[in-house]
Amino acid sequence: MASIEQRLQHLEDEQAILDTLYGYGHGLDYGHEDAWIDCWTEDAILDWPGRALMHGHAELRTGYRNHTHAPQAWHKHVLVEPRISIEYSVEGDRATVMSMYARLDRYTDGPKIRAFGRYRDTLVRCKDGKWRIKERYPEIESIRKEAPIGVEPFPDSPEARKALAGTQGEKS
Amino acid sequence: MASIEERMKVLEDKRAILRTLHDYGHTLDYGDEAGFMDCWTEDAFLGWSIIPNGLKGHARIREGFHIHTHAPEAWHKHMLAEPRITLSGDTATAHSYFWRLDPYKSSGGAPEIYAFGRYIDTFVRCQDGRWRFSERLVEKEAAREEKPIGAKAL
Repeated sequence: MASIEQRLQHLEDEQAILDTLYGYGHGLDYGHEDAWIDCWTEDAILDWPGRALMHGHAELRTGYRNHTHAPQAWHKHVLVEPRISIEYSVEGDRATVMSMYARLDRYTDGPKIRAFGRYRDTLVRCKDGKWRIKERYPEIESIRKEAPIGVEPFPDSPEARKALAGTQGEKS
Repeated sequence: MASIEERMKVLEDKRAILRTLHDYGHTLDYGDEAGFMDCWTEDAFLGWSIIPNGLKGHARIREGFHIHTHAPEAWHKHMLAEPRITLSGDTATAHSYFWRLDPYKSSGGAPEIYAFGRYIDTFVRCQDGRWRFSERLVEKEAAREEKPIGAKAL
């Protein structure tokens, strides 16, 4: 039976992990570059479908600057239903998280869902106590072909072609 | 190092604030006037973009509730996600995403996104212990021009 201290720590860790997951969307959508970079470990990996894999803060910063932000483009990376699993270890605490997401964008006839899919994340507790993302693999399961206002069309890629054809879900 | 009691209190406060955030959408969408009004301090400010200068105080916020549509006359959902809550003693701020779903005539009654944006909220812990809005600013970043089914002409 876990102690009160351990049970409380687990709840606090889940809340802290959520704060980091939410920091990703808020930082990216509103152009808070340093806050967004602070969501990642120094050696983090981000594999945005259709783009070159990013490894480390320098490449993440470049990827961030190539992405759109408000007020040039208004969009929302909406994360829901995070399933958080935490492993405590003397080598370091680690969490895996599966979340659903939908991305909302502005189109000429109003707001629409541009894409939906899943985030597969690994986070670790850093020396300063903050949970940061070590790996994020976003999966696009469905995307709209039309580009939103102020945003480039989605880069062509095998994942994008599958999603546009509605076959991404057949992978599993 | 904070005590167990203090750490528990932080978690409880965040859960209580989250409950008030959720109460806003449920009571507005389903027409629970008393429940909606209980989300606000007496002198709270509600900054709806469609009301010039916003709504200040309970009487004006109640007027706003009456102006707004509710089920079953109109079916809509004020969806909230990714709340980032920051506590500071007996006050707190929260930044959250929202998007509103409505049925549209042009879509044959099917649901569409009416609008999305961000809520910028300030809360206070009241004397009865409940966390209530002292301010809600609604930043609407995208919206459809077509009125949803059941919308009032404002």
